[in-house]
Amino acid sequence: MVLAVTLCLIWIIVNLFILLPKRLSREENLFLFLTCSITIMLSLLLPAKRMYFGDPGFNYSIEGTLAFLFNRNIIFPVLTLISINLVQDKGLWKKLITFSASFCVFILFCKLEEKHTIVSSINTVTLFIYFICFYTLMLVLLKGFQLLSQKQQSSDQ
Amino acid sequence: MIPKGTVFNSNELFILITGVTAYTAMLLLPKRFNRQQTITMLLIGAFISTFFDNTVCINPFNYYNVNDTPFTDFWDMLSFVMFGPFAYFFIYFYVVIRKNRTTYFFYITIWALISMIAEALAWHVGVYHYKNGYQLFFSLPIYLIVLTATMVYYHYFIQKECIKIKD
Repeated sequence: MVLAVTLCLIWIIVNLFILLPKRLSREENLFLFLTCSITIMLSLLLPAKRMYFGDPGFNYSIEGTLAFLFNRNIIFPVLTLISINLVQDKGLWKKLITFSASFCVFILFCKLEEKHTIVSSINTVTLFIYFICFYTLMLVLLKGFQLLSQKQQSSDQ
Repeated sequence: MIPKGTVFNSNELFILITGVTAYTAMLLLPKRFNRQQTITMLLIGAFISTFFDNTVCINPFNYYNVNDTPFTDFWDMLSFVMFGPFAYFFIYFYVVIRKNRTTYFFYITIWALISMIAEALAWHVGVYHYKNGYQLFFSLPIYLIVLTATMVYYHYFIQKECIKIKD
């Protein structure tokens, strides 16, 4: 059941990413996908320790593990891509709405499917701090990546 | 971050030497890509390593341990970074060589074999500890898939960019 739901979610989110207008170039989107995937995988090392290394009190199935892997490597990174593409829109209100909506989706997703997203129970305040740090890090890294291109263009000229 | 009982021995030395050599070679080679492309290639290498070590190493698969502990430690992270330049070299030499319709097939095969030899060496010095019946040969399809994915990146991001510049 959980795997079927996750696969449907993947289909919806990937199609949403395809349909929504993209403010970032292909290179920037790929860069963002790779950096946020690596960050998410490393961030989950501690909360998902029970699943990774086997905990006698923690029941997991192949189906559950696959759902977790799909969440970790497809749903979270693609949601980040969608959010960061939308936050590039001009206008403070648009940015604020996008940020708030992304935060709500992130918290809801982590709380509703806790066992297959963050594995351990984490309180909302910690999740909120993590989300702010993660989002800021992605925006800073993206800005740095964009500056690299601008510097290259100015040095070429 | 180094856990108790972990000493600096052959596997840590292997990671350090390979990493330093690879990054030095990358910096010494004549530049063929812009900075964004170089960073993306390094990230592709690091992503592939992080992804497989955090997927094949965990339950229910649990096919191998990286370095001295089953947990991810400082040296595991360093090994993820160490893999970065290999994606760069893979694309760099493919750009350099003369190509025809079948080149990519032989090129990927040769790189997969080189990767197997490198993994055998890493296993020998203790970077990888196979478990639950895993054998070196099982890594071959993973290398073939990963190298093909990197080739797809080359076709869509490097080659098309070169064609655009020429036009």
